[in-house]
Amino acid sequence: MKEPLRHLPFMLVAFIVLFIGFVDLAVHVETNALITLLAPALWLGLYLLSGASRAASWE
Amino acid sequence: MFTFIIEFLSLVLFVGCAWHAARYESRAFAQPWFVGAYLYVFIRETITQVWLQTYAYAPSILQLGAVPAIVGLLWGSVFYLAYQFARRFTASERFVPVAALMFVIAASIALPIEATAAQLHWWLYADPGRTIFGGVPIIVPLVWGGAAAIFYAVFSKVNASRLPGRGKLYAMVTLSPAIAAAHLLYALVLGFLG
Repeated sequence: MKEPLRHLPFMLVAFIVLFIGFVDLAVHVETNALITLLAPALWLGLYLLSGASRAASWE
Repeated sequence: MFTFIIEFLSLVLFVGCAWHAARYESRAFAQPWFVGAYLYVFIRETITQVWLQTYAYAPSILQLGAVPAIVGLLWGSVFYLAYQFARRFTASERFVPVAALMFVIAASIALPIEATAAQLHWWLYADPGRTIFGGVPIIVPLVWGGAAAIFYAVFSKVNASRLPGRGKLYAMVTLSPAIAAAHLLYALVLGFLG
């Protein structure tokens, strides 16, 4: 990764997931609310996978 | 309760997104996007808070008039994150695939924020109706997704125009009441159906 800051949106969404996750755990919110973190986490996974497939297609 | 958390999050996201947009898109892209989004939110929230009163913010949230001054930055940032993720998944130059992806991604990003807001009472809905995930009204993720798609619909037209950088900024400023009106109408229809 030559320019890691190009992927700042990925880092910011990861920051949302971690930050909100820690807040939720710290204040003991309902499990229902914690499950919602999976929605942006799914997109983070797809972002990483799309990067891998792009790299493979360039080879 | 703990409203500084959402204000801190909004500020971090705004600074990060605005810097990224100015660095990797262009300044002529970043200014209309974030100024237009903030003005749109300002108008939309003023109408919602003063007239519709569908939800109310916690008194400890910093407000500018009736609008949450720092939390208002969240919208443009979530739209931008959704846009960048959408561009990652499609190289299409057409509007529809990008807007559709933005709809889903913005709703996904907003969902945990809304769920935490419902638990910590950052904002409270007057008539939440059916709720999911511990107190989030069922239409709220759709409202976020629609906001992202409507904003992008206008921004993409302005950005594709032959206007110079400052002209695009003025166009977004001029069109922000129209975006707010379109989104309020969309939210009202959703509220009526939901």
